Amino acid sequence: MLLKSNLRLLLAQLDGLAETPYFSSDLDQYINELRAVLAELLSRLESCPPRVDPDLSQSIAHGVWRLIQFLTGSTAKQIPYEVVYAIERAANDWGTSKLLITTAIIQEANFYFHSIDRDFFNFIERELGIKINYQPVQIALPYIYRHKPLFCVPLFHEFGHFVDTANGIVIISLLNSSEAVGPDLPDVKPSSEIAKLSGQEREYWDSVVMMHRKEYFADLVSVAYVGEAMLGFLKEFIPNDKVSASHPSSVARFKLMTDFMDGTNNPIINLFQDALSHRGFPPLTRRFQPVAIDEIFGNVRPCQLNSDENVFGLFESGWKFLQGMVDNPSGLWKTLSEAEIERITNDLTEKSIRNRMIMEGWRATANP
Amino acid sequence: MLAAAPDSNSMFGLIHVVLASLAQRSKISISDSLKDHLFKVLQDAFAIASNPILINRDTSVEALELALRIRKINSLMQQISAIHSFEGIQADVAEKLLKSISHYAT
Repeated sequence: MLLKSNLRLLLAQLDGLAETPYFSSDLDQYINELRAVLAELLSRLESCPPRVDPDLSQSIAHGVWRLIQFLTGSTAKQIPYEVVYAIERAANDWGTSKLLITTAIIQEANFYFHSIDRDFFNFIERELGIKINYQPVQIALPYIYRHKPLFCVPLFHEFGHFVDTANGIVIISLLNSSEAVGPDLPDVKPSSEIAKLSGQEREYWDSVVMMHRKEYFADLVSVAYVGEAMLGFLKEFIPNDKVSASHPSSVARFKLMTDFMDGTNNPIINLFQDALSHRGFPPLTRRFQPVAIDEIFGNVRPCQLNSDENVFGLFESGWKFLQGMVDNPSGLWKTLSEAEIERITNDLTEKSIRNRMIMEGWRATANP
Repeated sequence: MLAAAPDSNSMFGLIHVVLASLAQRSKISISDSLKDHLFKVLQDAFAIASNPILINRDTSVEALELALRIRKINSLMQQISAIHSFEGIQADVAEKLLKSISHYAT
């Protein structure tokens, strides 16, 4: 009874969401595809005898329920459209499937990513005959940052987790170079010692190595797109976090990110570059171009962004501008408070990206 | 928390359901397509765990993740090498596979 009730409740929620027009027609289509899945599942469960196994139905229902969780932010008109746009552009570098960024707005000081395997959708298509055309990239961000694009740069780290999970990058790195082989990770038991362990202790350290590699890879993806904006944000968000089972220390993360940006040889970076090549991806490199905004933002005007590389680069340039004006305000900004400097810089960043979105939409309409 | 939450980023949701049914010898009705899928994932995972050089851009993430879990369990690797169809997956192997994919959260 409860399973069918859950499906009806979820369907009603999606029906409600589907009645509202959204900024994104892709989102509308995705919602309609999920509605079709629930309706078909319910129909098969309600027939006598049921035409689908209840255990499998339960698993599918839970999967769809988790997908809906990340529609709440996407459909509440609270999502940072401009940052989501930037991540959608970044997603073009990582595969051919149609990626859809969905977001959840949360009331906590955290960002996170929630994966869904493409095989889950393949299975739904085979079992229920319903094709879901989008692969969601599900990310959650704090409510207070929804209109602060420069404070949303950790979403690029979360996007890095998506790239990893969707392509098995860290898993490939472990299959090629296991925990017992290395390279050694900072603050973690050396690989030569892990090799001598067994049982639960070995499992624990294997897990630590995997989790740390995942965090390092996501960090590298984020600095590849937004450079020093990510490093600068993390230095203020987690200035001194100690190493834990799930995360490397702040110091170790900053060092790896700096090595990447400086082009310093680092065996951990090489490990991921090798794994990427197994999937046919080019090596991770700097994917952004800084934007000359000092004069334009200095005159409190949004800037023109001529390429995706510029869109990514605006995060680093905007972050540096913000830091510079807070430390040493000049020109029109001299009389502004720190709070105003922060607000206006974020606003200008948001408007600059929005202008590009509008221009792009305009061109697409004019040249269909 | 009311019940054990599934690992939010695990790729094994449906495979877990099927393996659990095999391990418990329950009478879950499994479609041929899901049987084919599980058997292919198992075959690919075994091949990759034996020789990671076989990884390519088409290898499924489920197979990669399963390969990672089973590669160090020699007895399980031996048992998998003798499986040639979905019907050949015995309850004890399903039990071991379930244990391997529950080993640590990702």
